[in-house]
Amino acid sequence: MTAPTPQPAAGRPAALELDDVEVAVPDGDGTRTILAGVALEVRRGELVTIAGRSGAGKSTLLAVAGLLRRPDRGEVTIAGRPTSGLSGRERTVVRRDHVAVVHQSAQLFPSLTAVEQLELVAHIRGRLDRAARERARALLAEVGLAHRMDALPAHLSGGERQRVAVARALMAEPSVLLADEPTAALDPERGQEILDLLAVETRERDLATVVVTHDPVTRSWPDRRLELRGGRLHEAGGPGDDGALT
Amino acid sequence: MRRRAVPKEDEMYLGLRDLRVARARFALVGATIALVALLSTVLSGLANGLVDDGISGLRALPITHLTFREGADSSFSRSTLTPDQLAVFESAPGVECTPVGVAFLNATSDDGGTTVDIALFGIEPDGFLAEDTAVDDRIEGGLLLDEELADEVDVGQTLTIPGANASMPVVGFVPAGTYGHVPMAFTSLDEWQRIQYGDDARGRVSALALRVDDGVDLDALDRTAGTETGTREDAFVGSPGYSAETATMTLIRGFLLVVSALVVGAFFTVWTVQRTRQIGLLKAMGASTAYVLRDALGQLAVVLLGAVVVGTALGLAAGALVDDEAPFHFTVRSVATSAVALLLTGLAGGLTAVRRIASVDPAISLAAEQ
Ligand SMILES: Nc1ncnc2c1ncn2[C@@H]1O[C@H](COP(=O)(O)OP(=O)(O)OP(=O)(O)O)[C@@H](O)[C@H]1O
Ligand SMILES: [Mg+2]
Repeated sequence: MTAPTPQPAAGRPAALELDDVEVAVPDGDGTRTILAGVALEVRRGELVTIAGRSGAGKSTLLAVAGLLRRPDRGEVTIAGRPTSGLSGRERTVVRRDHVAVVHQSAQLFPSLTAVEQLELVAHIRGRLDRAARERARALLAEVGLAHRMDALPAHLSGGERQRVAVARALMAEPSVLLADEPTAALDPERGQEILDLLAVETRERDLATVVVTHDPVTRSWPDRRLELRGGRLHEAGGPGDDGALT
Repeated sequence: MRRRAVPKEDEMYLGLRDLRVARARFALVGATIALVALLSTVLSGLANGLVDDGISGLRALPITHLTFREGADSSFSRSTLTPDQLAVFESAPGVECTPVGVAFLNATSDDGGTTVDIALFGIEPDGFLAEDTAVDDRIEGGLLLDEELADEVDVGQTLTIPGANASMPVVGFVPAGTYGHVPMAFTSLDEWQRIQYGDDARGRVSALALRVDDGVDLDALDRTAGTETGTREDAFVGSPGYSAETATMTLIRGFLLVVSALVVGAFFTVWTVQRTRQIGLLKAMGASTAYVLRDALGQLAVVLLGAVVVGTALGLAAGALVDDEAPFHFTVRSVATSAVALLLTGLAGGLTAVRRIASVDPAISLAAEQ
């Protein structure tokens, strides 16, 4: 089902599409190219993992894909909408409506309880009503935190925090879910639980999911394993391991 | 923020919960601002009180203008006018004019038991100053004292002015007010001239009290008579100590405002810098800069408003407690002015701090934690 040049399934256009993305960062007197023509398509219901050594540019790639950073060249298309021509404000709106990010260290707001972390998502959208509050509680229950709704992050374990972060990402009802090493701060077992959770939610909610992770892969996921190397994405661990995706 | 003075839940989410969780931290800056508000309130009461003490008597006079000798700077003590000068104003159309003599004196009761300081105003018993106040012709040969002195002397007692060889009976009390921080007293102009100049008064007075119609060319009259005419309010600066007191009070209150702006600015700068990552995260979650700013400003407004309200209330209470010992006088206007000024400078200080929210890059939420 994975091909070097994936064809969108019938009636399933890519929710996230990166085309010839280039990013260079200042380095000493000159610049260093971090991403050198990255191409990637992720359809809804599909989970892609990206591995790569430290400093390879994985976080940079997610920042570009999540409209948190403008590439120096190339196009990022989200939900069919090319974004290179958009103003900063318009990009914020596209991000708000389509993209959610799960960070390495959960990144919860220290003064918000678990359920409030989710309510905030609705508040940012100007839609914190009764239905939203109920949805927040339902989502937390879904990730197994029904008993920790009103706990502050300081009183949650690392695994619980990361679950809240996943639930918060889902609260946004995104079409694109990006996770940057969501398991890095967890022990292997807890880490696996988070990855499983992401895989399940990708299927159930029809998300286009990209997870940066080094963890070994289990069960039925991911759909595709990629590696960022030399500024480009390569198939990893399968046939055509060293073939660049273009 | 646009629709209500106090932000509500539906406009501020994170800011309110930060206040709740970081209570101690915000209480600290809130207490500092509250103390500044307390001081500002007390000072505004004191400033008002001092002003009242300086010029309440003058403010109560039914006049529009006062005429002094040229160069007297609205000071009765420095001003002497002659009958010629009086005549210039008396003959001018549209001008009602009556002479006054003013002297700061102390008077001793005949039994020697009581000495009081008074600002003695000599006025014509048939002039409009006497007619349009509680003062009446009892002042011929007698003293009408400000009612504040009723505690110290009695009607019928004779007061002697040492050095002037004059004594007069106290004939009554009127709500005259104070001038130059001492109670005012009225007597007839003749009596005043006798006290001031003995038998050699030659009609000299201190100043002229005027009621002037609109459009009268006072400058021309001043040029003719060699005098200096200003409004009643202009004359306040001539009250002993008035300028120095108001300048000092204004300076201190100005300093307080600067201090509060700096405290608020410094606190919210540190707070905002500490929250940089959270601000980036909010933006990464799709919050607009306007949303984050509204949240931060709402938080700032709650802290400021709470602190200023508490501090002002405490200041009013403190003023009421020491009312008898110090010349406190609160007016709604001056208390409100000082509170609003504090709010505005605090807001200005806070604005410089939260401004940096605009430049926080949402991408930092993905950057490795330091
Ligand atoms: N704004 C920037 N300015 C300068 N250099 C940058 C900037 N952003 C990223 N870099 C550099 O780009 C490279 C890629 O960074 P990135 O964070 O994407 O790597 P990564 O693959 O996520 O690494 P890790 O696995 O350690 O998280 C690094 O060498 C980093 O120092
Ligand atoms: Mg990284």
